Amino acid sequence: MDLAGGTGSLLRRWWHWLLLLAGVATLQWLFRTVDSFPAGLDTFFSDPIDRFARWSQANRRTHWLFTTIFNPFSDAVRVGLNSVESALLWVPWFVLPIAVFLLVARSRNRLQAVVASLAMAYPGVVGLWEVTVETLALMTIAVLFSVLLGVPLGVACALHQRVNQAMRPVLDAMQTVPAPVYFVPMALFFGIGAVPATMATVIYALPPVVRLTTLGIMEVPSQAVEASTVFGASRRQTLRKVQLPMAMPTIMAGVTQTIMMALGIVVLATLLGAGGLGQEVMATLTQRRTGRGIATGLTVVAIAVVLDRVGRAIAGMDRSTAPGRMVTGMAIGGVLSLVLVGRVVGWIDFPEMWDVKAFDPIDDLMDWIRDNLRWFTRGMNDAVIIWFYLPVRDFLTETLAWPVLVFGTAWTGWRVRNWHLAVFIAGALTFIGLIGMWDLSIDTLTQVVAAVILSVVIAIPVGIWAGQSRRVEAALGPLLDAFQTIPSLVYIIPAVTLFTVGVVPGIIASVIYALPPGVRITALGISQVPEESLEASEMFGASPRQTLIRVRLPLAAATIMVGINQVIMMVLAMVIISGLVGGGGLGFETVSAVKNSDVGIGFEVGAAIVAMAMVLDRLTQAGADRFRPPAAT
Amino acid sequence: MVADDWDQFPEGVYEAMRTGRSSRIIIGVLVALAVLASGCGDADEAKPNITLVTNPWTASFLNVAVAEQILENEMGYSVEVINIDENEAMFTGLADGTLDAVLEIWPSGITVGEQAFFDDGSVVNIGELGVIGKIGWFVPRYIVDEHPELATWEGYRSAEAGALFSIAETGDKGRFLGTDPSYSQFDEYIIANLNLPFEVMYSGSEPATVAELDARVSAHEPILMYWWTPTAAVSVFDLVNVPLPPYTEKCGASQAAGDDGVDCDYPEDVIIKAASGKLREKAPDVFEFLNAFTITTDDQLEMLPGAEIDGEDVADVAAKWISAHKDVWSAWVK
Amino acid sequence: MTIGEGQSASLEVEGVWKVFGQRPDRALAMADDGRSRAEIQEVTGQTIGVRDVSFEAHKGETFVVMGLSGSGKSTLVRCVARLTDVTRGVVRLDGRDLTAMDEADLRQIRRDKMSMVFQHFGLFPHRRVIDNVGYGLEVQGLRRDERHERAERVLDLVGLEGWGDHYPQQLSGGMQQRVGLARALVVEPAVLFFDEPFSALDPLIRREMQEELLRLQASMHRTIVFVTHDFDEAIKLGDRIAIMKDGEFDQVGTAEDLITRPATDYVREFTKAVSRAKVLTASSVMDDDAVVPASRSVSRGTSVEAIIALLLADPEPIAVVGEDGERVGSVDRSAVIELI
Repeated sequence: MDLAGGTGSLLRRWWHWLLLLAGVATLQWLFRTVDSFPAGLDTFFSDPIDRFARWSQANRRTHWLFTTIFNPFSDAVRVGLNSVESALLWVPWFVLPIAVFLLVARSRNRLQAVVASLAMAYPGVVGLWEVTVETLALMTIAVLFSVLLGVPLGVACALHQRVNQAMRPVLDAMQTVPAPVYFVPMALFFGIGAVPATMATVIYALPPVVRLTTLGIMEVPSQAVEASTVFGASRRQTLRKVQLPMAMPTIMAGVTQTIMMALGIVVLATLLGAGGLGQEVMATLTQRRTGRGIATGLTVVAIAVVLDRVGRAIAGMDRSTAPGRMVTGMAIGGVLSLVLVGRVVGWIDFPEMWDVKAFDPIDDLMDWIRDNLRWFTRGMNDAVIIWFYLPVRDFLTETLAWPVLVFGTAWTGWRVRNWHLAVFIAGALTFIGLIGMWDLSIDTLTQVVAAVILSVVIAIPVGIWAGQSRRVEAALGPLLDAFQTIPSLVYIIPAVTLFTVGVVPGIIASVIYALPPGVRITALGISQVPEESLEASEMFGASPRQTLIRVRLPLAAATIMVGINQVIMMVLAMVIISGLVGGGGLGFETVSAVKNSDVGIGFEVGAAIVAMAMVLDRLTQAGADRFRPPAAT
Repeated sequence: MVADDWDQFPEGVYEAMRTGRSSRIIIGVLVALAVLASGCGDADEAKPNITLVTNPWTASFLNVAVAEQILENEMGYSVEVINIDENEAMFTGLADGTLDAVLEIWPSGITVGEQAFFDDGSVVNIGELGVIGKIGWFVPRYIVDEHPELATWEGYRSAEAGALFSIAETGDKGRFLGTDPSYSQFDEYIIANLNLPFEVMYSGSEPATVAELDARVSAHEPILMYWWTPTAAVSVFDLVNVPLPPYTEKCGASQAAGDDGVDCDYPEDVIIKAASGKLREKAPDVFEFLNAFTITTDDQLEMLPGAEIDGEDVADVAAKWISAHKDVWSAWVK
Repeated sequence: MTIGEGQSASLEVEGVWKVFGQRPDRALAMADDGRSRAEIQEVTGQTIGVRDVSFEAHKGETFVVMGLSGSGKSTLVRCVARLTDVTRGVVRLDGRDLTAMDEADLRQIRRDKMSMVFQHFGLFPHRRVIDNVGYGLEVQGLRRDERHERAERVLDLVGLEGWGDHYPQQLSGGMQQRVGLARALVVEPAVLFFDEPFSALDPLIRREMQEELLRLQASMHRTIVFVTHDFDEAIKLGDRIAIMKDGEFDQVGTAEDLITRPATDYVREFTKAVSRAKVLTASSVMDDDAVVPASRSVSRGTSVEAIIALLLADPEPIAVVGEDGERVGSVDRSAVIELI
């Protein structure tokens, strides 16, 4: 054998690994004495922003920017919020549950109608209707804004290639940015209270409606558009009479998603003083009333159920099965006359039948768990910290010189995609370091990695299980929905009692929040494997295990990677929550910045989270692409 | 008249359906409802809305609930309550009139930037609330019983003291549990300047602090933390204050500036109330009322256990206090 | 080439039923009372996929199940291969009852004796062609080099030499189905199931693949159960053909049987469009008694098409002879014209 040629081919095969090794060794040696990232731009952004913040606070009452634009706008939004709120409180209590029942029953699903109606009644039954209304008002206005902004934007994207190209990265970024990051700048422009919370919610919830509007219009068959054109319709007419109506189901799906996203953020909105359910949850938890916290959290779940069922009923209705005009008109008339009767009789507020005290037994259960399972929860807590969190964090921040991490991550980006990604990663990480967020980001990264590993370890097997059985999937559905909608504060504070203040409760909350998309997308990937491929495998005598490992998993791998990507994004969205229970890192820094209206720091923390999110997002997306079978040629 | 119409209502609707005028009928009903709605407004139109601030601790909820109920029931105002953190944004809100008054400001927490609002008159000090607050270091009583040397700060200089309070994250150092980052805290500086083997870990929020306190006390474990009086937790968990080196002028200056020179105890806080500079003009009687408004430490301690421990509704607790102390508050309402 | 005459097996299907739904027993009870498929669907909500089907595919025979979509033919082949469990009835492979077999035995018999070619190919997009073909060997636990060696030989056989390192989706549809065919052949099955394997292909490619299959079968003589909706394909490939409708067999027989003696109008409809000259042979058109003088002779199995060619060249009647050369009848112009 030709020895030289052998070495040559070996070199060819392994040279990128050698490059990694050499780079790591050189950088580690070169930077062995450098302690931490030189924060060259530590105040580069924060100082001017702080200056602007001070200026805006000083000039809020005088400068035209505020007196003619932001303040009147804020006032208008506030009026909107108040009117929705008083309108909801004005309606007699029994009307909404009945209206919801009728609306859902229209799609001929009586059971769902009853469920939705009960869910509608729940907040009032436990005596939280007034607080819930505040939240509903915020959501309504926020969703209204999102739709008013999002649908035209989506249409513009669909019709103009250039707008689409410009919007795409913006939407990508908006979806990667964890919601709390928006809070700080919003407070700058809109002051305090419900208005900045509303605007932060609008930004957070906007992407789905834009995307799905674009998608819906693009999906309209070109023949339909051509037919319309042939009949001499103008572009506007075609849009209004053909494209928009045909895209409506997709647009509605986008609106539903927007509503759900808005719902997901309302409890966090309490940080900006928006009041409502978030504040109520915080207050009950300060009193160590776990049961009442759960009761309050369930109102959010109940609203989600109502919105989901109503949304589905509307989306699932077609002209052939919908009841006739007369029935509909009777129903509307009936509801309106109920309103009339309620107002005239004065039967308006929810009768006090029950309240959150009914949930107090849960507190005793909590105490029992605290006293009897402490050995386990504490042991787990300390194990995670001593064996994972501390060593990994210290290794990344103290043992490794910072350029090694930048180089190593960029190298990974290069291997999974190309050098563009490598350059992007190196830039993003360097940026984090330069603005002085290196150590905090690594701290958070360590927690994120722990949460992602845990979520993936749970979500993938469960997802595989659910993906192979419709029944399992259906049974898991409500649980996953609840995980996704119940405000995490409700379970994270009890988690503190069990695990102690620190990174672990935050990790647990992140896992719970990230599980649903992880499980769902894995299940989707598994169930989407073509039936014929599975039959083929079975036909050749493969055992179920062989089929799973050799056919199902490889074919679902790309989708599962997308699920992991989603898990990472969800975990990042929970970073701020971990800051509320002693998680330190960027989370605590965000909480601190928001609570102290520290805009400069707030911007830096936000930027660091965004940079981290984008790096992780692109890396995992590129990873997912590598799992896709090669495309047809 | 409405009742008369009601009899024929369904028929009218039915008729409209048949003749395709349903939309007109529905609009008609909506208009009727709107008229009805406008006639039903119960707040006095002439009186402006009053916005009071609560900060995220129970005592603040209680004070505001008392004021809110008296303003609404006795003076006919409609009151909106906004919960925000005690920070510059709150002062900005007071200054521009978005917020009308805050009833519990801890002077030790006023920053230089916040002081500027008082100085230019956009926010007005409307007198003492009547409560003397004290922030400080607290431990459960059993710690002092078992380790008498830990009754004062000098006992915390030893490595053993550090080890006693250590947890997984802090290694051999002791953990000092800090709290919600919006509360004024100088513990990092105090620990550094007094050279104590401790490390501050922030709980991040008050519920988290309480949860941790509950966990430690129920297991009879050591905990050293930032806390304050008056609170129900002090009696519920039987906490004792650990005195730090006495407060000095120089140290106080460091506290106000927020620099790293703090090496003394937190001062006793004579809690004050503040109002928007615009309130006097907007609603003079509310301004006078809030000016006179007083809640003493005893009053707070009377209300706190109900709200913090028994988990009663804050509004109910406040209502109970109002009905028991008519003699006290009737003097505020002129 | 290793795939030659070798193992082959007989397949017996006896009274097989397949009911879809939660309560098959109710549907079966109604069916036993003689109620129709639609009636049962209406009352119980259960769908009858296969209704009391029996047949036998002999060793080395190509048995074609022909039916339109919804006729139950795909369900039937899945029942026979036990990709789905039958509701009632028995399937025997060389006398062994497949329907009663446990998972492990079934797996073993599949590894040893069966394989299948799918309508949409059922290839694994994440595996290279060579690993697709070697899949059956892989699950049997064969070593990699042995798998590859055998797979490559079969790839040569189906005309795909040199394509092993490509991914299936990089190949054209016809080539993909050749991969599917190779994958089925490499395990040397006794029984081969074909589920509309060529229906997704262009007509030209389809014909090419049919020829390919005939060529292979000519040398290997496997038992084949072939499902199709294309009557031309059925008569081209099938030794015997079953016409399936509404889950039942309308008629089973050779192409000639079906054309000359359709049992129902439904069958007749199919046979109408068929070019009879291609399918029918001398034995269907000859006059058994007529002992006319003839200078030429053809065998019984000669297609009518060939006879026409002869008659066009020379209108004189032609003698038909049996296997032993004895004269069994004769064909003349009028008989052929009558047929066409």
